[in-house]
Amino acid sequence: MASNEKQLLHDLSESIVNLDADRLRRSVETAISSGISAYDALMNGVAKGMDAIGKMYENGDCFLPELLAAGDLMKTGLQILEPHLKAEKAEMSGRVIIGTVQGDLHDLGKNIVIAVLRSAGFEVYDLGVDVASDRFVEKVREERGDILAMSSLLTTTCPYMRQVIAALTKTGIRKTAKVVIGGLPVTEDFAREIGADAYGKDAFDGLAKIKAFMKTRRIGIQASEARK
Amino acid sequence: MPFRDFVDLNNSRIETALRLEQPDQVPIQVYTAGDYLSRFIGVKPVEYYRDAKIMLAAQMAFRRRFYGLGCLGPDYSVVIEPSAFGASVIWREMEPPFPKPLLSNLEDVEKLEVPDPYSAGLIPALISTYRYMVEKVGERYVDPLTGALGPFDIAVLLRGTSQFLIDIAMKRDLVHKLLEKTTKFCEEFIKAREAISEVEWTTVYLGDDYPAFLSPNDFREFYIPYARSIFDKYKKKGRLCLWHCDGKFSERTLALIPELGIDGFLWPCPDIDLSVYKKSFGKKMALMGNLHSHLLMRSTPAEVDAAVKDQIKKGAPGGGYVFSLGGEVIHGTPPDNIETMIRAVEKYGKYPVSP
Repeated sequence: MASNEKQLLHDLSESIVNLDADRLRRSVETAISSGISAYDALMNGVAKGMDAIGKMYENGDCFLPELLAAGDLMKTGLQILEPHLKAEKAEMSGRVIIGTVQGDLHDLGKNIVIAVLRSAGFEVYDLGVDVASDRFVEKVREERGDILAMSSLLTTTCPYMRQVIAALTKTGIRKTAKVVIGGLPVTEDFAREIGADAYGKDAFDGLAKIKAFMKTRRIGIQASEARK
Repeated sequence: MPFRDFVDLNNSRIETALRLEQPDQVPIQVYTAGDYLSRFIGVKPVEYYRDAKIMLAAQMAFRRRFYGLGCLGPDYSVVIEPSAFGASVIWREMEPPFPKPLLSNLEDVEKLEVPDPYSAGLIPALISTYRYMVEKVGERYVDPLTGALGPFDIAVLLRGTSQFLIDIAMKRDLVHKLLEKTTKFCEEFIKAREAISEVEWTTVYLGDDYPAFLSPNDFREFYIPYARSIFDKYKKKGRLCLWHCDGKFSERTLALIPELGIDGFLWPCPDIDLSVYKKSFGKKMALMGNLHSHLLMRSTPAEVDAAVKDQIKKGAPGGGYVFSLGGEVIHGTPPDNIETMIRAVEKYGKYPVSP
């Protein structure tokens, strides 16, 4: 890697770590105009910075405001890079459709998960809060989502997750999309009981499980391609 | 023991514990709210929250069933203060009401006015519900309006949780401007509540969940000065200053809590073991907590009994301790488990209690 390219990627990463929105915009534009691929700018620049913030958060060296602000900045970076990524037909880590279930207006946990997923190179479609089952199903189908992630903070709203899974099953896309759930009242037992594929006890645990699903999926795809 | 005698005795034990002293028996407090209480009498949450008669009936039903325990007072979840600022309220059929964030741009804080503490938003509903309850059951048995949402959580609700936390990282000056206004309102609203209360206050209480997510430096910059400006005024009047925050603190931020100058820490995060709080501040402030509400909901009565025993062993030695849940009784909690919890406090809570 040329030293200029290395410096540009470093700038991208640093602009996230230092929560510097102006520097991020400048660095993304410079990187693209210098011929760095959008995929490289994302994975070896922006996402690397986000990953560093995620590790600092896990170690207690930074806190929720910084983690969420970095996630928000990364979203800005992604918006600039998106048309270039499409043009490059870049292959991301996977597609995740995420939302807080119907009846529930809490978004903090969901937003932490989004920040962590983006740092790992996932394409995340955030449906927001109070999301009805048909919206989840529609988006999974539309984006050909690999993962459906649902969050809930209330004991009264988490049973709705069962309804979403039933709707996914009914439409036949349950076979292709894994379901991961999380939130304060959610437990491993509850996840099993409603037929989810995994429970994430926090954002990092959720990420580990989603990564494991994607790894299995890739192995499966490779195996079936090899058979052809 | 007759119902009212138990209530009075338990209340006087709570007062003793809040003064950091040791009563003869560990007192108990059971925090209840509309989400559970509405279902307890078989009505929808929205009916409870929108009708003072139903609200009182549900609270009284719980008290009758559980020895006079549980909250009795106006209960509007977290919507009163944001509504006073002009936030619209989303009334949902099966969930507590919730305010819609008001400030889509933080820059609009410049235009935000500190509301009138008697007439803005849903404050008149709170006042009339309080007066209705006092008329029906007597001022002695109605919670005397000492509790208020703190300045930080009001700001969080006006801006939206994630967005406000991002603001703390990115727009620090404007965050201070918002907190100055919410703090001013808090001070005036507490004054108004005290004026309306039919009972003389011995305590003042603020609830702020979200400061727990701040770094130690931000906690010192964005929380302590605002909370202290409220607490200090009441300390001067000899009131006990009580504080609730159930966010999960980092070890370093948790260590700063004594800087708030509070007398009692109520329902702290139940994911942190009670022994940690007791060791860190058991000699400086009273503790009220900390059985996990989810444990009460999901466990067998035998498990509840054992968990209560464990909490008492951790919290009670030396006094300054009120047994309670680490939050409110949540939907789905079996009444038998509540009964078991109350009886277990009676059984294991006789002083002296050793660790």
